[in-house]
Amino acid sequence: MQRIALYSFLLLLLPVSGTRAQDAIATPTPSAPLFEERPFGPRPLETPTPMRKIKEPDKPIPVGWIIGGAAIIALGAAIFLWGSARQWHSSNLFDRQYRFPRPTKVAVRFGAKRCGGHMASVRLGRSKTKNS
Amino acid sequence: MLAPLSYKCPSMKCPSCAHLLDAPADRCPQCKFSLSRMDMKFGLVPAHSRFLTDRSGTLALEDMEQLRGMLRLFQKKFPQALFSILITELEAGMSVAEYAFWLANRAKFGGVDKALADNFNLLLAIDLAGNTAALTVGYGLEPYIQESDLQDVLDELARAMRGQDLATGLRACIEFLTQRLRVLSATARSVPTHAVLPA
Repeated sequence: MQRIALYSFLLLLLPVSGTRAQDAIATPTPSAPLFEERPFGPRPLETPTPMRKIKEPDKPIPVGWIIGGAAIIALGAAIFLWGSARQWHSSNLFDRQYRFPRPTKVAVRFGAKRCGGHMASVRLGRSKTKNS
Repeated sequence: MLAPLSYKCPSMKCPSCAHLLDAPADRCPQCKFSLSRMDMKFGLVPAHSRFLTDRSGTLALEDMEQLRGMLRLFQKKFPQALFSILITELEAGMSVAEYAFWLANRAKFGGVDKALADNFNLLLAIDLAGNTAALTVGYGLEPYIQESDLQDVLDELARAMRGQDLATGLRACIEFLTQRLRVLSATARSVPTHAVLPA
């Protein structure tokens, strides 16, 4: 009976002592800060002054390329001018008008008052003059 | 300075038989060709429009619009002249030259009826059935445009049509005629305006 009482007492004491041990382990200990505060940071090294580049001599453009380029430019300009002139002529940009003086006499023929049969004709596919 | 006196009106030929006429005549002394005879031959004037008429239905709509634009521009450049084109399919045995002559006198392409020396109009008639074309001018242009000029225009039409289609040929024809008339208009100012009949 006494043994039972002793064991019971010991059993009651054990959790109390375990809790105390746990409490002792969980207590935080102050450690060193992870980052050292530096308001302006580390001073950077000075940038070295760039060295002046030594200019390498240019490669000469081949003469053939120059001639070819000039020829292409000249051809382009000629095509552009030709197109412009053609457009100018065909679209009558400046509304140019052409007139014929009115004849004072006409040779009326075949009883026709508008057209006297002054004409040419052609066979389409091969050229042919009918009235000659 | 006066222009050379040797300038003459073009020689007169019958549109039907190409017989040379010495003087103006009501009918051809050789084949009896006359406008009234053509009236009987061709009957009623077909429906036509001012610039371009395609009675054969060959041209595409966009080609017709473009060609009409070119013909409008032609008239802007030559305000006296109206260049009309009529494409048709004549019956067998009908001459496109006779048809062009008859149509130029009977059809009303312009709004105002211009006659005799006031008629500077041009008409190109194309017969797709007979594969022929004729280009004729009014009395007003006769002293300035030779038949060789008209022939050159038609040759250009035929040349352009050979490799291409009708629309291409007509475009080339209009451009060529414009160029030629521009030159002829410049020379026309240096020649007398009266047509001297051949002796």
